[in-house]
Amino acid sequence: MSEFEGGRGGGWGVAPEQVPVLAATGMRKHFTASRGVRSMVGARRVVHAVDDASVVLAPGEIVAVVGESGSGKTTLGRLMSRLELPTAGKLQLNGEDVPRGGARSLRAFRRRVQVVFQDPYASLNSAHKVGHHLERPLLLHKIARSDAQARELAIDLLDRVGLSPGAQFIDRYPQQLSGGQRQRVAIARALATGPQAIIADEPVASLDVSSRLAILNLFASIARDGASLLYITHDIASARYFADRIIVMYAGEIIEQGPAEDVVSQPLHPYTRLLIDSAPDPDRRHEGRRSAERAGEIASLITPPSGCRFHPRCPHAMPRCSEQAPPEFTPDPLRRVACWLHGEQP
Amino acid sequence: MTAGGMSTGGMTADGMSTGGPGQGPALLEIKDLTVDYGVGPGAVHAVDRVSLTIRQGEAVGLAGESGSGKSTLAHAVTRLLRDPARVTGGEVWYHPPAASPAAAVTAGGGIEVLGLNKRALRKFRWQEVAVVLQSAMNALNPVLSLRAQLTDVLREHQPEMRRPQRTARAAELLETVGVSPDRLNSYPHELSGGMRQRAMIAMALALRPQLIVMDEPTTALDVVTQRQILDELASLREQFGFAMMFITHDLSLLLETADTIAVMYAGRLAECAGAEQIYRSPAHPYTVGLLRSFPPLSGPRLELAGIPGSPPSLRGLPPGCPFAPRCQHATEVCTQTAPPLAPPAADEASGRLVACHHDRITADATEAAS
Repeated sequence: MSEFEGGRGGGWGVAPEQVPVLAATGMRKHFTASRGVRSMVGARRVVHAVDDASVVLAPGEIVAVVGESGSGKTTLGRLMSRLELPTAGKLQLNGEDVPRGGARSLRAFRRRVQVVFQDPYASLNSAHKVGHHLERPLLLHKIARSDAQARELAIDLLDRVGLSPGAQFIDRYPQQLSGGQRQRVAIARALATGPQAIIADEPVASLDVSSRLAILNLFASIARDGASLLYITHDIASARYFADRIIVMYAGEIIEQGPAEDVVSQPLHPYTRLLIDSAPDPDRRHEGRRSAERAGEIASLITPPSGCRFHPRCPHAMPRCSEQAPPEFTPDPLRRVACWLHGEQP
Repeated sequence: MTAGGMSTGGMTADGMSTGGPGQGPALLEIKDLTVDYGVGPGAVHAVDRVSLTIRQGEAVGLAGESGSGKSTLAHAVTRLLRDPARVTGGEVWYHPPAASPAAAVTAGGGIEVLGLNKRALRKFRWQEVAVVLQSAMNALNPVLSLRAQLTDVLREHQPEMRRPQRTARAAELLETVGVSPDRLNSYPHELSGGMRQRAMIAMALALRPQLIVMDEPTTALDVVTQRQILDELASLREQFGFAMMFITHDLSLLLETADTIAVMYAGRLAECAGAEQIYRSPAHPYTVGLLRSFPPLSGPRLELAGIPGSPPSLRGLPPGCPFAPRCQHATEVCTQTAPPLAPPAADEASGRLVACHHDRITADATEAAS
């Protein structure tokens, strides 16, 4: 499928001498759809959630994965945080394979790779105080050797994420905090184990508009301190805001990636163009663009279109696009795009 | 748009108003509307003395975060409030345009929406004002086909229509909003989110209302689908000329779609002005903060701050300006008295209304924009 070693995006984004913190190669995840009537008459339905995706996270790098619902971005995040086992593909941490085994063998991995979820109302247990959520990982991973030390470190963590003084927040319950404050607690919990990489799936989507930037800024400062961030979002403007690189997904595949600013200002893939043209932008108020008008809807993951999965919606589709899936082309050393428009002429 | 009782919007007896950024006669006039949740000392004002006028054919955007009262306001003017919310003050006047069937009944006067009895309310809804809610999945009946739901509206309001005519009209409505008419026999679960929302809009259009109230109509949709629906709405408005009250937390979306924008905070209007004015020279510090909360897609990549702190709890609001605790310009007066919604001294002729003690900010913002 790909002309590059190890699938789409593999081995790129990292200087040759650098070992990536997290490297996913040729990741594939297929789910079997629930056994409905159709499976009884013989047709087994397979959801192609992620196909042949490779992602590399360099130390301290912020990579944004952008896509609509059904693009596979959340599944990719779950694969990279090993919350989901891949159907095929390889996950490496600091150049070493992540074991496929259970909780015990994954303990070291969990310590190095942490996750922040979308909804801080669901990810914190309302029966427990803020302190409990932070002290538990500190003790479990033997970062703190006593309860007193755990409490001390927890207070430091709260200060670190902007809930200061931490001593004032540590004995509160999640429901006594605003959405933005809860998400800060969830981030503090992720930081507790001193991770090398944080995978954040839509971490600001359920927050009040006015609190979102503060959380993104907090992530940016965490990355400046050395942790890598995989930021999964539907909002390409927020990806441009603070990510180093943007990866665009469509119908389970990575279709474009490159430096954040380049991808947004000069998108190469027609789908990236569509995403950007569709985003609200007050500066374009009077331009009257209508590119999305007949753009249709996202492709089925059960019966993905032949060839390029975007071809049924693509304004530039050629005969070749429905026959043959495009490999990734490299029109520029820093960029990659899976589209025949950027390949050799047929 | 003007706010009732303000000097820029002198209302004449027939509901025509003068001045302000909006043009044309008033369609819906909200006057000093207050909505409380609960009763007695525990009651909170979800909407606090809000005045707002929507003119014929105007798209008014209502922006605000959760808890700002924007949805409660929309539900109050469409009489969709449920316990424990109740209107405790104010009026909502509807002035039917001459062409509308309601105009004959009112003989040039208006209709006070909050006082309508059940029967009159049935006529008023759909025919004069229609509503599109955020979650089309929940608003559509899951066990009825689109045909049944669309023809239901027609049968109720246009009893003279025969069944084949109703079906034809239902098919036509679907086509108007960009859904293939062979979807008529589909059930809601067979449609994508975008198609369901289009079906809701088709239903809202069924009786050619003068005003469509849209409460976060695109929030649950993907960005491409959202764009398709917004474009569809723009062309439908060109075609049919209805006015629109568009509610969303996404100010950047309103800047594109609305003629006039009202920014709500803690149940009150913080600022109300033309979309262009809001974008180029926001006057209220909260509006400024909101605008800076949406990173742009072009221009330099700058670090933005958003707004410090969190939206207030309506229980135990500070005595002065509700935004004062988060406002970097707040002075002593801000913590003591609530500022009235009024034209700023530095910018009196613009028709803009701002609830802020500090006109200085307006002057600065206007300079910066020019």
